[in-house]
Parts: sequence; structure tokens; C-alpha cells
Amino acid sequence: MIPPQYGYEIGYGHDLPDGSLTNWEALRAGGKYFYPPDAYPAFDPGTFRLRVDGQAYNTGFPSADWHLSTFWRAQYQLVQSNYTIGGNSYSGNVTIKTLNAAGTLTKYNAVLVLPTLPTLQRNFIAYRDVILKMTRLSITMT
Amino acid sequence: MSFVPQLTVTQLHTLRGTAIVAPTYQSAAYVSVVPNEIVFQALINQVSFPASYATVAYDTVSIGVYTAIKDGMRVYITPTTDLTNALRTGFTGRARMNGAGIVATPVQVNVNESSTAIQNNWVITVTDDYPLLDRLGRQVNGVQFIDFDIAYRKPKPVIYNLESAYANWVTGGVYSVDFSPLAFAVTSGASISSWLWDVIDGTITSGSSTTQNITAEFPPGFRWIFLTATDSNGSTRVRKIPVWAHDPDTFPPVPLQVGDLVTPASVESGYSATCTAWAGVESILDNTYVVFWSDEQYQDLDGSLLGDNINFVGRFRQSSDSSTPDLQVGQIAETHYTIEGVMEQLSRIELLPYELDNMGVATAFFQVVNLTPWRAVCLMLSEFSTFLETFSLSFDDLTNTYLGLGFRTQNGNILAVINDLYYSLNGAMQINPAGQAQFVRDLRMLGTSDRNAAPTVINFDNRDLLAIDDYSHDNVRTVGRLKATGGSFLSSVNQYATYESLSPGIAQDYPEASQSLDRQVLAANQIGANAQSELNTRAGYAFARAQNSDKISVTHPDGYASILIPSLDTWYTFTLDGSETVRGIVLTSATRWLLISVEIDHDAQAGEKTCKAVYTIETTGAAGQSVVYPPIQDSPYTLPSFPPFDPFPAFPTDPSFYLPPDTNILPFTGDPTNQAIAPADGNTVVITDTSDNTVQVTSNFITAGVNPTWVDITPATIMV
Repeated sequence: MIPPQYGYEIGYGHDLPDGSLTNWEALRAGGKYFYPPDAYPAFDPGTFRLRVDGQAYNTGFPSADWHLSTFWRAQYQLVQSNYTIGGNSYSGNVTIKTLNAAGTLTKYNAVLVLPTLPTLQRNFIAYRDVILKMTRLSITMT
Repeated sequence: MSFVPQLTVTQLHTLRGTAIVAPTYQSAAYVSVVPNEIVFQALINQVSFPASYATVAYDTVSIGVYTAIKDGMRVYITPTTDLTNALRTGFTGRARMNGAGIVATPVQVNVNESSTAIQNNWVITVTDDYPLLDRLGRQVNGVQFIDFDIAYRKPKPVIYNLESAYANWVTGGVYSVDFSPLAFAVTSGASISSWLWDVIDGTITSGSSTTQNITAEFPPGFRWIFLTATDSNGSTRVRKIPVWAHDPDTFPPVPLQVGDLVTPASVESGYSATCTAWAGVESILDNTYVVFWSDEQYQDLDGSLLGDNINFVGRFRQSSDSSTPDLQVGQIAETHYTIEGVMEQLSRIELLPYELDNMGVATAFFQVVNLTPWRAVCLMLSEFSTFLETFSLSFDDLTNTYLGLGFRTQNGNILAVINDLYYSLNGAMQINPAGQAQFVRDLRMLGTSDRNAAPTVINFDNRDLLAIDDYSHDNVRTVGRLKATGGSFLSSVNQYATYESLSPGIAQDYPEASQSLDRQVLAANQIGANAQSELNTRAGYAFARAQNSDKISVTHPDGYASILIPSLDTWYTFTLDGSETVRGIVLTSATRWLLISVEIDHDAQAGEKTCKAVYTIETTGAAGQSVVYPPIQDSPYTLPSFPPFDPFPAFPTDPSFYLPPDTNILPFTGDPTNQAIAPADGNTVVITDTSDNTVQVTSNFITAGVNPTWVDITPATIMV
């Protein structure tokens, strides 16, 4: 069954043009399609500093957590292989489309940080409640 | 030309946000270092060395060819090919272009004069780096030479309006840079006549190699490019400019993900930096040239506020390692680096005192046609250091207004020397994060029109502050009097007319403490009353500035870092309604401030910056009062310091001057019509006229020429 596609996209490297990103929900590994991440509530806009006039000043890198309620081992391997440095590490530069705080799908440069295996909750043959961290979000130049 | 202009409305909106756009900011920080590529390596082929040498012979070339060695490149001579700690184990200096214009030959390399012990068969290594080093002067048989064997030459022109580093990402495979250099001739009457660019592997896409302004594109990688400016005398200046074009895949910069990059700066010391180590830093040679730069976004738009992304340029100065035990990982090790900025590097170059002469025709170093403080500064930096080959230098005034008869430089480091030269105009060197230096006069020492002509960058209000960290206000005066001395050069007689002034006046104010404003260079060739007035004005301003004036320390939001460059020529103002402080301090835009220090803490991991700044309030004061005393000598070579005796009105220290003793009642004899036999120590002369047995005094014996004004001071009863 093909899951619903919400427009989350990913590609390896920064500043990738629109056409070169892969729809996350279209990815498939071990015979399983990727489920759309639960990302909207996890968009962190960065740090807020309080100005003397009482208004908030938003500074620093935003980040977004892609929360996956179920993540198969083969899917983990595919993400590690395709989107991390050398295909065998735990982080890499990626271009993503994700929901920002306003609920708009927006393209960002990001650094993907994978959780290590011992930190994952294993439930039979799948991992539960996996969080892929998309850090250092910045607007792309393309 | 101020480092920071008055901000436009659009820029203010970018900083503060608007009613419909919230202010956001983020900054990725990166490090670029000069790769120190070895361009030449060989063995020393020389058994003995003189007490000081400036040439070394070589053989057995293992890397490169001698023709690749350029003037100013870093040279190491070490026991082995290992350059680790090379700065402490052998010779380190630079390749030297000798008086014949030769840097190296098939058998020898010219280096800066040195007495560092080296040996035959040691390794000579030349790297693609251009360090800031000294150039020694020497005198042989009465002839002066610079850099070992360079005989007198006309001063070289100076290039500015170029950064000391260009670093950024490639876009579309290339890094495109617009270069708009400026230059001025140091030699009086000369002008810039030609330009020549060598962009190495770059491509000039706008202009040509002989036009002043160009746009050039660079492929990924690092290179030094070169710009030569030639003046109408044929004197040339070659400026070296490092360019990093970074590609995320093929030539990435170092992301400063570990944080702890702090760049403090002040008007006195310029910029410096500290940071923690990053992966690969262990392979970088000591004293490597390093650049910190940012990739900023305001309101989700890529780009810096003022179009400049360089946060700091400098060289590694010191590393310190520490470790703390940790139960999980054993030891947590950390390395911290201190990186010195441009002015700190300058302050490590020592100079002997020199004497600069104002001459109609210059035929030797230290003879300058139309000598002014700015020409003196250029001469010192140009001949005694390599500063002007890698850094920009400009002045707020390039005229002949402030001529001098001669300047004696002080003993010490070259930064102190050149600041001391400009002290005579109440100015100093300022520098921006990209390594561009300028000499400016302190706005607090200038008149109203000059002050108003300076830009006010921004009127800060409560949107521009995160906190008022401190507002200090001194309840008392700290200086009760200020004594000023100076002189106006008179070209027609080739001497100074000297003046003295007291502020607030001859009666000392509270408290007892005093300060001096010596050696002021006043506008040349002006009548005495105007020169005295100019000095009185400076004395008044200096007296006001000498008090412990109000200072305000604030924390600005992160995105303000780029507009916070300490300088004595740029204003900032505050509008605060009093609700921000317990004491209810109200500030309006009518009160101006100078930014005197700033500290930027770059949190590269989070993409944030902490911006702390200290401002000092504008001061002004009424003109001081004229003080007339006999000059120390009739034609002082240098501008006077205040006379050693106290100028305050009081009983004379030697009452015998007014009450002559019984013997030797005549201080000296003289002929008022014949200056040749007159005492040469001043204008105040007392004589006895034997024709009518009177005692006469004059205060203008020399300046009045053959007809001084004599006043009869014969006592009612005189012993004869």
C-alpha cells in the first residue's frame, strides 16, 4: 500500500534544485514504503531573546525533528546509505522540504543526524518512535 | 570613509523587523586558512655565515623551482623537512627582493637580514604565505639602506579599499568578486598612473587586467592574487590578496561547529580572537593566516547586512591544551587558540627611533618632501614592515595642511610609533574585521562642522537592545587642568612658531590632577592668532575628553554584529525614555556616542552571536586660554612639550630677575640692531643702553627683525 504523500522531500547535499529531491513517502526499502514523518509540531525556530521593548528576537538555526512511529531496519540502512557522509556515518548535509512553524512546506538546507542503533526502541523487526533530527536549517540558494 | 555607513531604512527594517515581519537572524560560521603550500624546497649549501646574512646558497632542490619564489613569501630554514615548531627551531622570515629587483637565483635565495644560527645542509622551505614582518634598516659608510641593500627610493604608493581576505561559497561553480581598489601616491605631487591585476587562475569578467575596478570569477580553491599600482614617478606597490572559493564537496571550509569563537575589539587594540580547536587543526603550521567568515540570513534571506561576510583576519599566536578526567570517556581534552589580529601583529615589530626631515628635495630615506603625519606613517609602515603589501591603509586627510619641520619617532613597537605620529593630530589607527586600516582623528577633538559631517550609524532605541549591562557616570571631575603645546610650521622661514595653551585657563580647576596634550601639529603657515586659537580649541576639547565621561554598555541582538566596529570617527545615538533603568536615564538622539569596544561571541553550533558593546559619550569644551612664555629655543626642530617650569601665575622662581643683586645687575649685553651677536635663546631680551643708562626689555627680539619693541624698565634708582 502506498502511504499518503504530503510532500516531504529529501536529497543528499545542499542547495539542490527542486527537481532533484526525492519524495520521502515514495522511498521504499525492504519492501516497505516510508511513512510520512510527524514533523509539524517538532519545528523549532531557534532561540528567542527578549528585547528591551518586550518583543521576541528570533536567532539561531531552526531545526526539525522527523518523528517516525515505525521505521524498519532496511529503511534505516537506506537513509544511512543515501544521506550520510560516506554512506556509513550518522550525519550528512541534505536538502529537505519540511513543514515550518507556519505549516508551510519549505525547502531548507539541513544537517541530518541519525540516531544510533542502541538508542532505538526495537519492537520485533521494526524500530518505534524514531527521530531523525534535521538541524542547522537554512534557506537554500536555489 | 567610515567603516560603517548610516543605515538605510531598509537596513533598519532588516535588523529590527517590521510590524508585519518578525526579526530573525542566523549565522553559520566558517574558518578558512592559508594552506601554506610549499613552492620551493632545497638544502642549504653554505658552510659559513657572517654575523648577519641576507642571502643563503642552496642546492639539491626537492620541490619547485626558484622562479616560483615571490618577494615576501614565508621562508623556513630548519634542520629537517619537519616544519612543526619551525618558528622556534631555525630561521623563519621572508623572501627578499634585493636592491637589484632579484628574489632568487639558481644558486641562492635572498632573505631578510638575520643572525639566526643555521647550518649547511639544513632545509630551506618557501611557502605560499606572505607574513607581516619587519624590514630592518642599516647604515653603511654613512649611506642608509632598508631591507639590507635597498638604497633610497621615492615613497611607494598605498593601496586601500581592499579586504585582507575574500572567502565565500562558489555559486554556479565560481566565486565572483567585485574589486574596487583605491590608491594614493605618498610622494608629494605624484598621482596614481596605472593598475595591473594578476588574478592567477581567476577570470576577469568585467574590466581588464589594467583597469582599476574589475569583477573576477574564481574556481574552487585558494590562491593569492596580485594588484600593482604605479604612481607618476614610477614607484610601484604590489598588494597581495588571498581568495578562498569554497565548494561544499571539493573544497569545503572548516565549519566552526565547536563554537567558542570570540572576537573582542577596541579602538586602541583592534581585533583579536580566541577559539577552540577543530578537526585537522593539528596539521596547520604555527602562525598560519586564518580567516573567520559568516554565512548570514536575516528574515530567511541569504546575505549579510552590509555586504561584508568577514568576521576576523589574523594569525595563530598561541595554543593551550587542557584535559579533565571523565568517568565515561577517560579524558576530555580541549585545545584553545589565541589568534592575533592585525594591530597585535604590528605591535610585535620593534623600531629604533628615527628622525624624519621635511626637505625641499629628498635624496635619502627619512627625508620627505612636504612632511606631514600621514606621510610619516606611510613611510614607517612601508619601509620598516611588510604591512602595506597585505593590508589596506587610508587616512581622513591627505593634504599638506599639517606640515611639520621634522618628526622624531619614539622607540618601541611600530604600532606605537605610528600612533604617536598621529597623536599630534589626535588620531590613531583603526581597523575593521576584514583587516582594513585607517587613520582618523578623534571626533571629540574636532569642530562642530566636522563632527556633524561624520555619519551616525543608527539611533538605537529599545528595539535594538537586549539589555543595558551598565551605565557609568562619574560624579566628579578627574582632571583639573590640561596643558597643551603645539606649533604651526612656517614654510617661508622653515621653522615652527610654537604656542601653549591651558584649559580651562590659567586658574586651575578642581581637582589637582593634570594632563598634557603635547606636540600638536597645527595647520601650517597660518598667522599666529589663528594658530593659537586652533591650539586653544584643541586644549578645550582635550580637557573635556580627559574627564571620566559617561559610558554605556549594552547587549544588542545577534544580527547587529556587523554594524558594531569600534572607531573614533563614527557616531551612534540612543533614544531611551527612562523606563529601562532604575535611575530613569533618559537619552535622546541629540547626544552622540562613540563605540569604543565590542565583543562578539559566535556560537557557531547554534548559529547565534552575542554582541556586547561599550559606548562613550561625546564631549566638548570651551577653548583654553593662551599662555605666552619664552620659547625654549629660537627654532625648535620638534614640537615642544610643556616647559619644565610651572606655567601658573605665581611668584617667579628666581626673584633676582626682578630684583637684581648688587653685582652683575645686567643679565647680559646685546646690540638691538645686530641680531648676530644677540643671545640665541629666545625673544625675551634685556639690555642696558649705556647711552642713557636705561634698562630695556623686549619680547620680540628675533621675530620682530631689526626693530624689536623695547620697553624701558629702568628702576627708579639704579646702581651704576
